Amino acid sequence: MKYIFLFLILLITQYYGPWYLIAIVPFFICSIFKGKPAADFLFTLLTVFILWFLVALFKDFRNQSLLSGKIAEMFHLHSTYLLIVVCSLIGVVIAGLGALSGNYFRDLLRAKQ
Amino acid sequence: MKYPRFIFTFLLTLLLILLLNAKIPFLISTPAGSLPPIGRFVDPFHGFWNNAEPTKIKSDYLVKIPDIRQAVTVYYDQQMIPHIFASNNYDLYFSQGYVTAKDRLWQMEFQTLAAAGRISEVIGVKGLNYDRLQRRLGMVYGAENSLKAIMADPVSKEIVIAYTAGINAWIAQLKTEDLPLEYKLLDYKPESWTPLKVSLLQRSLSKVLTGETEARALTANLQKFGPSVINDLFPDFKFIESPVIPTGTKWNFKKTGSESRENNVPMSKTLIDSKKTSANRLPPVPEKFEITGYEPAIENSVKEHIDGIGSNNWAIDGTKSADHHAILANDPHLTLSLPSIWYQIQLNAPGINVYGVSLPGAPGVIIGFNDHISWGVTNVGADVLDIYRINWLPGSKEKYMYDGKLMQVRKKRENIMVRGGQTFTDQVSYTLFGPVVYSSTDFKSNGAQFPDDHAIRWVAHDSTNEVKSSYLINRASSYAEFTHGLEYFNSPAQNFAYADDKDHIAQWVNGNFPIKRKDQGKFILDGSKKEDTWGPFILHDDLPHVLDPPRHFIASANQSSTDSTYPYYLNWNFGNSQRSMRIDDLLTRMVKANADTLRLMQTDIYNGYARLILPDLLKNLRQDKLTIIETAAFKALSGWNLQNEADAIAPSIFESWAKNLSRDIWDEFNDPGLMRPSRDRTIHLLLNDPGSIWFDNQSTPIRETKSDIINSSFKRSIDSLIKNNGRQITGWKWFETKKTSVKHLLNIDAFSFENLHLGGGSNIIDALTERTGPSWRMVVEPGQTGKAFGVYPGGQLGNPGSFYYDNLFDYWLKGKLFTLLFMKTEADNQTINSRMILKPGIR
Repeated sequence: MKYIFLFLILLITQYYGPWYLIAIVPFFICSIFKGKPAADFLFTLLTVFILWFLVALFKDFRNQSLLSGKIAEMFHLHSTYLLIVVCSLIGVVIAGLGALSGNYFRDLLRAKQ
Repeated sequence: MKYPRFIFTFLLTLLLILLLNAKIPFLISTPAGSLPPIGRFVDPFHGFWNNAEPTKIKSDYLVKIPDIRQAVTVYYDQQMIPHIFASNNYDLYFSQGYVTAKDRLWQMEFQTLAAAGRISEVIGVKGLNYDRLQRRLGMVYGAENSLKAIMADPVSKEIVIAYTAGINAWIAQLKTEDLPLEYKLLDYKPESWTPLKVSLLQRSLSKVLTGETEARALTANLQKFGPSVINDLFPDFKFIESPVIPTGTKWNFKKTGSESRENNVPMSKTLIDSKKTSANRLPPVPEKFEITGYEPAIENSVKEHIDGIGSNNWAIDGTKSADHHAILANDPHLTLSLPSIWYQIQLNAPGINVYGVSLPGAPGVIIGFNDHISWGVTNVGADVLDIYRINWLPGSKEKYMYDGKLMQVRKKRENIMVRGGQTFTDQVSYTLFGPVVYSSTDFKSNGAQFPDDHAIRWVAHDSTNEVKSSYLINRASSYAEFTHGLEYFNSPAQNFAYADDKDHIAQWVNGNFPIKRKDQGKFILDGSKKEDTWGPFILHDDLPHVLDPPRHFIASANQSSTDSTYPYYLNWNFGNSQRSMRIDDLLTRMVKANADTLRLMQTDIYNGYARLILPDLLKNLRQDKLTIIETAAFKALSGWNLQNEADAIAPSIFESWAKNLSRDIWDEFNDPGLMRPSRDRTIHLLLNDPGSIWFDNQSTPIRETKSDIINSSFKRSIDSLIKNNGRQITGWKWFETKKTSVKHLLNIDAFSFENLHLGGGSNIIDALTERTGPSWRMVVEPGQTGKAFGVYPGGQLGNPGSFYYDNLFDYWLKGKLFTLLFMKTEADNQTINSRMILKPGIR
C-alpha cells in the first residue's frame, strides 16, 4: 500500500517539481510510515525504478527510439534498453537513500520522545 | 548511534543530489564539453526523454497569442514544412518568427551568439579566443551598422520587429522541460531575441562568404619573387574561363570616378609573359621595387588558391525546354551542418505568396519562387575585404598618419563574459578603414590572414538593408520589380539567377563593390595614402548583368564575373573554371529539357580537371618503372570514365596525385605564409610550358623535368594511399578517401552523419568535399502551372530526437528532390499533415 501511494505521489509531483523529489518524497513517506530500514531502502528503490523505467519506456515508445538510440551512442551504451536501465538506476540510488534518511530521521524523533 | 547514521545517510543523499544537479566538469569529456547535469538530464519527466518527440503528429490545434493581430493559419505539409497564411504583413512575419523558433530555437540562438562573439558565455574559457576574434573583426560593429539601415526604413523595421516578437512569443511560453536538447546538454537557457540578432545572422553569412583575403600571402609571394613572377603566376584573368556574364555582353554605361587613380601598383607595367619563365633559372628578384609592410606569416600555413566552395545556379529559357518555358536550378554550397542550414517556408499574405528557404533567424525567403518569378544565388568571389598597413607614430598604436594628417584611433570596449570565469575586457582600435584585428602586443596574428597592427576595410561593416531586399524580391512579379529588390542586397554579394513566367532569364552579379584601380587590394594596401582608400561603390545599373542572352541560358559557379572588357576591377581571384565550363558545356548542348534534366545535372560528377590533364600525366608516366600496386593504379586511371563515382578507385588516385603534383611543381611556394598559383595556372604550365623552370625541385642539385615531377608525385600519392587505406587497391574507393560528413553544430557524432556514400568533388558540379556540399538543391518551373522541387541534407526540425531532424537526408544522398507543395490558395490543403491556428488572445 505504502509503495503504491509513493508511486502515485511521485508520478504526480514529478510532473511539476524537480527531479530530486525522488529523494524528498520518500524521505517524508518513510519517516511517517516507518518500516524496517532495509525494506524502506529496497522497496523505495524498486518503486522509483519501476516509475522511471515506465515513464522513459513510454516516451521512448512514442518516439520509436529515435532519440534514445542517439543518446545511447553518445554515452557509449549499446542499446536503448540499457540506456533506460542506466538512467533509472541513477535515480533509484538517491531515492533509496532519501527513504533511508527518512527512516532514520523518525528514529531521532522517537528518541527525543 | 542514531545520530551518526542519520547524519551520514542524509548528507550522502544531499551530496549526491548536489553532484547530479550540477554540471560536472572534468569527469567525462563529451565533444560538447563537460557532461550535462546528470540528474536533471536523465529525469524522465523533464530531462532528455522529454525531447523524444512522439512520431505521431498533433493534427489540428489552436494557440492563443497575446500580440498577434488577426488569426493566422499555419499548414504543415508531409515534410513538416510550414505554409503560413496571414492577413497582414505584421502577422506574417510574426508567425515566421514563431514557427522558426518552434523548430530551430537552439540553432538560431547559438549561431547569433557565435556571430556576436559570445560563445564563452555558454562553453566557458574555451571560446574566448574565438569570441575575441569575432569582436575584433567588427562583427557586432557591422551588425549594428546594418541594423541602423534596417530600422531607418519603415517597411524593414516593421518586419524585423514583428519577426522578433514572434520568436519571443515562442520563448515566453517555453517551459524548462521543453527546451531544445542542446540547452539541456550545455545547461543554459535561451535569452530574448532582439532585432540586432537578425543582422548578426546576416553578417555571419557575410563572414563565411566574403571574410577571406589572400592579400597577405600574395604580398609575401611578391616580396620573395618580385613583380614579374607574380604577374605571370597570379594573373587577373584565367587562361581557360567562361565568365558569369557571357563574353560579348555589352556594357551600356561609362566608367566613372576611378580613372584618375589609375595605377601605381608595382606590377601594373609588367605584362603577363609566361615564356619568360622557360629560361634556365628563376627570374631574379629586382633589388628595389615598391612594396612595403610585408611581414611573413609565422605558422606554416601554405595555402592553395581557395576553391569556391561550390555553388551553382543556372536557368534555361523556353527554346531549350520541352514545354517552352523557362526553368531555373540552384544549389548553394556551404560547410554542411545540422540542424539544416536552411529552413523551408511558404509565406502568404495580401501581396505576397512566396516559397523557398530562409535562414533561421532572418525574416523572409532568401532563395525561392513565387507565382511569377524564381531566383537562386551563388557567391561572388569579389574582393570586398582589404588589408591596410597603418603608418603608426613611433611607439604608438593609437596615433597614425593618413594623407599627411595625424589621426587618432577610436577605441571600442568589448566585454566578453566567460562562463565560470571572469569577464574579459578587450579594447579594439578602429581606424578610418575599420578595426585593427590582430595586435603585436596582446592578440598576435600567428600566421592568420591579417598581419599584426594592420586594419581591415570590409563591406560587411557597412550599413546595408538585406531585409528590405527580401521583402521586395519575395513580392516581385516582374523582372523590373526583381531588379529593384536587388538594389538593397549588398552584402554578401551574390550572383542572382532569375527566371520568370514570361520566359525571361537573367543573371546579376549583385552587391556592393568598391570602385578600385586595377589590382587594388590584391596586395596589402598602404593606409597612409589617400589613393589607396576605396572609391564609392559601383552604381547598381552598372553591375555586371545580362537579360535573355542569345545563348538561351544563364549560369554561374563562383567563377570570374566578367571577361576583361568590364571596365571595373572586381578581383583577380575567383573560383576555378572547371565547374562552370562543364555547366556551360552541358547547357549549350541541352534541348527539350525539363525539371528532371536539370536535377540530373545538379548531380553531375564529371571531372573536368582530369579531362584536361590526365591524358598528359598518363603519357608521361614511365610504366616500366612501376611497382605492382602502381601498375594497378595506372590501369585504374587509364580505364577511368572520368566520373567521380562514390565506389570508383580512380578518383582517389587522381585527386591525390593532382594535389601532390601541384605541391611538387610549386615547391618554391612551400615556405610559411606563401601561397601557390591556382589550378588554372598549373594546367597552363603542364600543357603549354613543359620546359618551365618551375618543374625543377629547388631542394635537389639536379634539374628535374616535368616528367620527373609527374612520376615522383605519382609514386608519392600511391605511397600515401597505401599508408592510409591499405595495400588493397579495392579499398581505395573514392567515398572512403574523401569522407564527406555532415556534422551537428556541436560536433556530436551521434547527431551527425559521417563517411557518407557520396561521389562528386571539388570543382565538379556536385561539389561534395570532406565538409562542404549542396546545402539546398532546387529546380523550379516558374509560373501559374509551375512545379518546384527541392531538398536539403537534414530536415525541417532542429531536434535530434525528431523524425523530422533528418528525414530529407535519404533523398539528398540519392540526388533525388521532393516535389514542393506550393499552395496557390488556402484551399490547396488536401495533402497537408497538420494545421496550427494562431489566434489573438490571452494564453
